[in-house]
Amino acid sequence: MSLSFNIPFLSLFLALLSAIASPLLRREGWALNLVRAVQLAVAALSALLLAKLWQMGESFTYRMGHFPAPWGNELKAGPLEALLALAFSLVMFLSLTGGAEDIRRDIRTDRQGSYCLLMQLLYAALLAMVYTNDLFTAYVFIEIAAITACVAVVAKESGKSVVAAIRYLVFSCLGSGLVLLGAAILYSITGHLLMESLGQAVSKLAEEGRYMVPLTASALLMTLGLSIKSAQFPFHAWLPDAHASATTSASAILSGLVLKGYIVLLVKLILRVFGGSLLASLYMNDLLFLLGLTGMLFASVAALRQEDVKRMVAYSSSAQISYIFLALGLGSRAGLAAACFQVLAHAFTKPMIFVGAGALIRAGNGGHYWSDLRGAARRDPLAGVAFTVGGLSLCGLPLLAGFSAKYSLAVAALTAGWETMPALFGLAASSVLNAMYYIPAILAIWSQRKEAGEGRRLGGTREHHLAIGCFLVCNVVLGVAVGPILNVIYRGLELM
Amino acid sequence: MLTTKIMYGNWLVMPILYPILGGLIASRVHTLRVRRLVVSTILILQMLIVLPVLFYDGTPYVFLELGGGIRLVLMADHLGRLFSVLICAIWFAVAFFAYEYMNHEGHRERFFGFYLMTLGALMGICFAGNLVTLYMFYELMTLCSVPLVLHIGTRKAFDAAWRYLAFSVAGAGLGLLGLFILQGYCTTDLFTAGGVLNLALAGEDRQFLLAVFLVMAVGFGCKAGMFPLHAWLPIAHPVAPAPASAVLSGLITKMGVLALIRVVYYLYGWEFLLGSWAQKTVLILSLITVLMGSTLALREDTLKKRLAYSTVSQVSYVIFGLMLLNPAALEGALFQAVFHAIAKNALFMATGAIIYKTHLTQVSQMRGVGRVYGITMWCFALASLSLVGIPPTGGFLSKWMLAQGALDADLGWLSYGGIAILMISALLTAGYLLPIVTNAFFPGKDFDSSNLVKQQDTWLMWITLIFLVAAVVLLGMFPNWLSPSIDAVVGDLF
Amino acid sequence: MLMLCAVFLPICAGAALPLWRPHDRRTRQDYVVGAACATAVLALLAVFTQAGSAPLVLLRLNDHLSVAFRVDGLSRVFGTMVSLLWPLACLYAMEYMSREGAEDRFFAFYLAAFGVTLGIAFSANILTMYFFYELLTLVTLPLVMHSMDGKARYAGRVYLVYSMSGAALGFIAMVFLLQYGGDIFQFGGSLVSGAVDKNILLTAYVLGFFGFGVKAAVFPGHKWLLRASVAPTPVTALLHAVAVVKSGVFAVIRITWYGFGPDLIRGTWAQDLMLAAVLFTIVLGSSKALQTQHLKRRLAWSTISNLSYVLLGVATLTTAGLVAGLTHMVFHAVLKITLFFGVGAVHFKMHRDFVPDIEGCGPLMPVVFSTFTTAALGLMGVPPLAGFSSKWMLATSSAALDTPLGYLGAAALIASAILTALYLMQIVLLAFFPRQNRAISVKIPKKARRDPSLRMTLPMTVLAVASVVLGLCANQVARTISALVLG
Repeated sequence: MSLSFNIPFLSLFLALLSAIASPLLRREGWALNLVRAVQLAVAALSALLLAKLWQMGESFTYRMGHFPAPWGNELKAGPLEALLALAFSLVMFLSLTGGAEDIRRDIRTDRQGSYCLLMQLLYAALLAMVYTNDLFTAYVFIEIAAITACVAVVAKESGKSVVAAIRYLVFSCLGSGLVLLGAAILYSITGHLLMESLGQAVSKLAEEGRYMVPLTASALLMTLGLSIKSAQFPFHAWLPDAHASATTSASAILSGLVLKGYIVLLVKLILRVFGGSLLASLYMNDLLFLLGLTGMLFASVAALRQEDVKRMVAYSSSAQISYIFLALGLGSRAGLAAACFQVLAHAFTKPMIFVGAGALIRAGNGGHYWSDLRGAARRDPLAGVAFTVGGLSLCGLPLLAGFSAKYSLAVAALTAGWETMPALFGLAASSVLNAMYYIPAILAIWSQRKEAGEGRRLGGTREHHLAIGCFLVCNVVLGVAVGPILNVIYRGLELM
Repeated sequence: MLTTKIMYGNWLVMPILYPILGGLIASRVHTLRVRRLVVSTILILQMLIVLPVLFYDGTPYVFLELGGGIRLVLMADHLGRLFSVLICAIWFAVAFFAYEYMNHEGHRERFFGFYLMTLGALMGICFAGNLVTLYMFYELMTLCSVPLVLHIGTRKAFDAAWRYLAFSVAGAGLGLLGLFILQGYCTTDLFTAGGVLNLALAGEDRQFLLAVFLVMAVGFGCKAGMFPLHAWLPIAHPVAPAPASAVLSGLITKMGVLALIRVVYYLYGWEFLLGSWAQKTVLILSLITVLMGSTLALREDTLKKRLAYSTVSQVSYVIFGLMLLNPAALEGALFQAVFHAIAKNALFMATGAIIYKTHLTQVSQMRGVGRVYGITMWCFALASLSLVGIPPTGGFLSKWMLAQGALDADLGWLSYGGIAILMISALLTAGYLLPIVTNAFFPGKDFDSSNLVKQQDTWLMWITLIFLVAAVVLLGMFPNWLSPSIDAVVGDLF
Repeated sequence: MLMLCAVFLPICAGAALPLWRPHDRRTRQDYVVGAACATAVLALLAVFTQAGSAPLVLLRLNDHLSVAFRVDGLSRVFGTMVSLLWPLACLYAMEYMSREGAEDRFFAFYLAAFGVTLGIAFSANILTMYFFYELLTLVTLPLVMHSMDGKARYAGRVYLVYSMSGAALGFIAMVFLLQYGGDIFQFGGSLVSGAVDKNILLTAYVLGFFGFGVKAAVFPGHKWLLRASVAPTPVTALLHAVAVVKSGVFAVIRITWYGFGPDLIRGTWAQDLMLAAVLFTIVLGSSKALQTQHLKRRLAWSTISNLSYVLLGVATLTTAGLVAGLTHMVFHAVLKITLFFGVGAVHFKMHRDFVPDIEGCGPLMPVVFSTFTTAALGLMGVPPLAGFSSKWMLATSSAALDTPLGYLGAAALIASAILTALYLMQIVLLAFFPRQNRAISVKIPKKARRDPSLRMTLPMTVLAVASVVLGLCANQVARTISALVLG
């Protein structure tokens, strides 16, 4: 067992440790620097792991504390998990960097350490969800993620944020509850919690045809629960409020990462626990597909009518999540791969948009509405560029991440059965809708402001520029290096 | 031999191009005298240029190849030469009339410019060797004559010109459509006496081709004022200045007829159309037009409009004749075309002279005019007689031959009906033209002639008038001056 | 390499312009026209020297996706046309935009659009073409919205929505081509046969036709072109009569002849649908043009109609039709740009935008109106000028289909020709023959009583002469195009 096999555990450990340490650091800015340093370190470690696993061509399981199954905990890592961990770490780092200015402004100084604690815990939870191999751990970290995310929303104190956080909490608990219920059912009929064993037990049950109703119920409950938590239509109502009232980095991470964590779990459930064919026979695939299709359209239509930029982007996130559900619903390996690619693409694009929007709100007169943002990009061009490139990526301009995601989704749809045409039409319609709300937004931020004080260029901080620059580079890399990345994903799915 | 051939071919372009250029030049000359000189010179030279063409033998000359297999071809066969001489001579005469008449109108350089350019376009139609070339000059003719119609610049003139343009373009478009479909069935695109249809192919789709023919006939007939596309004529012709009305009624309508002759005899071939429903339909349309024109002319009080309706009627005689598809009828039609051209020009010129001098436009106002403007009204009278068809004027001969041809055609009720309608129309023509003459000369006892003041007679006007009327009378009395040319045309075809 | 230079030089030159901010109009003019001419020279060199060489792959994304450039027959036709027209349009625009303002921004995007259009021309596969196609929309959007008032913004929004919708539909077709087709455009189609059910392929193709056809203003995607006539004339003239719309046509030709292949589509319901849409657009465009009294909108409807002429040629799926369509594409570009220039000059000098106000302006702006008349005669299809032979060839190829729709196509062309004559001659007649009772009341300030300066009249004259020459040599033009495209 090579040293690099320790990396998953190490990542988790570092994250948790730095989380606990950060409120202890009273010096201003040190907490933030600590957590970001850890994230970078974990990113580097994940990259190493990825390289190693790719070279070796296999995945491994890591038993926590050397307790054998079925009592102990397990982590499982393959190329895909390493890639996801790398991506999540990077995005976390860049979001916190890009939103640093807003953290300093929106959150009271004495609370900033606590905020970093929350963020780091959330980060740890995400890593856990990526690496975990058993349902119990998964559930624990789901709860941790939910709580930390809720509190992060409240961090920026305002009446609205409290209401939003409570709403989020309610939905979240509902979702977790459903997941717990599903897990409980599974445990009761199979007696296992580790995903591998669960998988074997479930397939045996399915062959024999026993306990079909509980199996179906379990699958349904867990899917629904995770859908609620990842803001899939029609359960997305909590997301816009949460976004609108949170600080920039919180919104970015919420949209970009938290929602994805649950999806990664769902992918694991599909691959390891239930198996594709069982789900297909239970019509779960069709459910996912339909949820995705309707979500794409309705969420986009809702986005059209928004006056507040952050709410609009929130609805847009919901629409993008629907792409993932659509891809999952195709039921093929290609569909899963497309879903994973979209996870990556969205994880890098949405935070970039939020970071850009945050800066633009500052460059405007602080209001969230379009009328306040008119001409803001002229004062902070880099933020404008970030927002523009993000928007264009979501509209499907080739060579950017969004296009490659759509493309892989379309290719996956080609080999599906009856789903091909609806999927393609849905993609087309949603691209149009995307364009209809992003491009007027882009035009608005670049248009001339007919007032005095125009042309006053705001100096953004260096870290802000760094964050945006890196986001842009990552976006283009995702757009251009589609081939290699998809290869990694496919291999990872095989080894999952 | 080759060089002379090329030279002959290129010379054919001259009578077309030269007046067009001349028109452009004339429109730049602002001094009255100089312009009159320029225009006269151009017209005289034009007649000289056309002279050698009269000795050509009808071989086609390709002078431009456009894409897609279309080419522009010129040729000077008997038909073309006949019309070209007629046109040049009348154009020359009317120009002199116009010098005097246009004294009361403005923008004269523009008028004469387009007047000459229209002449060039007409020459092009006469000498066209295939339907594409004919179409091209047909459109050019429309474009150059529209400014003549709207010359006086009132709102009515504009509406009339717009209507003229719309109808003409639509008609030409129908003709083009027909051509387009037809070209798939033709062995060659060149006009050849007897037709160029590939009979094997055409036989299979005979009904379809007959329908196409009908469409083309209606399209080209529009310019000749044939029902159903005649509505523009009674509005456009009167509103133009008198010289323009003269050539519009007299000659430009004949170009529609010429196009129709080309289609019937040189593209389809009369044998293909003989006895078909298409032939009968066009005959019926032309008869309707004849009757309708005459009837409407009777009720019309504005003199120029009455003459316009008369044109509608008379030109359809020609169409009737040429659609009967036998030698006698064709001969009659051609004679009718020539005589009508000359006579109608004369009538419009006489009317123009009276309008110029008295500013009277309504027939009811013409009482007693003859007392003061005797020569003018005498000419009017003689021209009217020709139109009615009273010997020894030219109109009689043509109508006689038309009747003969109708009988020869042996179409049963259509022949007899045709002759009957010709007779009725002749009576109606008398009814709408002769009273003008009689009222002019014999206004009745209670006429107060103090309203009419004798104005200075202008010799230019009545010299040309007399010239034309003399032509009508003399040619009517001595038709054998004209017969060789017409017989040559007919001989080509039958 | 030349291709890449030709594509990227104007984009960079344009991008540099707002950064450099030349003080003086003269410098800007020299820079812009110089850049345009340099690009044109590069493009023409590329067209003449690099025909038939192997594609230049700039980026390879994965097995199916790459960004590649190549010069083939169709690129040469389109590239030459665009390269010859852009410098002339820049010259015209210099004068025109001197009264509109914000010239740096305008010319930055104007030059960039040149590069992007060349990018479309030189694309070797559908991904590259799609990329530049989207870019074209984005780059021309600020040009449409230049004046930034309410109407311009609305026009921009409509343009955007339509273009993006079109691109989204085109995306679907593109996915099929990428997945089941070869890497590079091949004449006659690059699909690997047998992989997918034919009807699904046809559906994808039809989506692509209507999608890319939005830029080519096929019904129902034609509304944006009308709204876009609020843009300054150099934009409507060059972009919306030549570059953008012809790119749409170009894209449709690429997916039909070089992507899906005519053999797949010939004789199927897809072809019937295409023909029907195209026919309808031809007649719709011409009839509406006659009803509109706004000059630029009239010409916009005329463009809508004429683009469908070209698409009719393409929809016949025969080589004769394709050549006829391409010939008309070239002719129409030259003629329409002249007409728009004329109308723009009238707006520029006399601030008149409607047909009834044109009355009597002919003698006051003789150069403008004589070029307008020449181009109008050409567009109407008066032989021997340019429009006649191309329309004739189109009608011939349509009728050669020997189906009801084919004959209807020829009839629609002729009906449209009649309407064209009417709506163009109305302008010419009104300009040169003012009604007497109005001639006195039309007040034209003395200082505007002449043609615009050489910068505007020179391009107009050159183009009018070119249209006459092209018409007389129509046969040669058609043969050249045929040789280039069919090989």
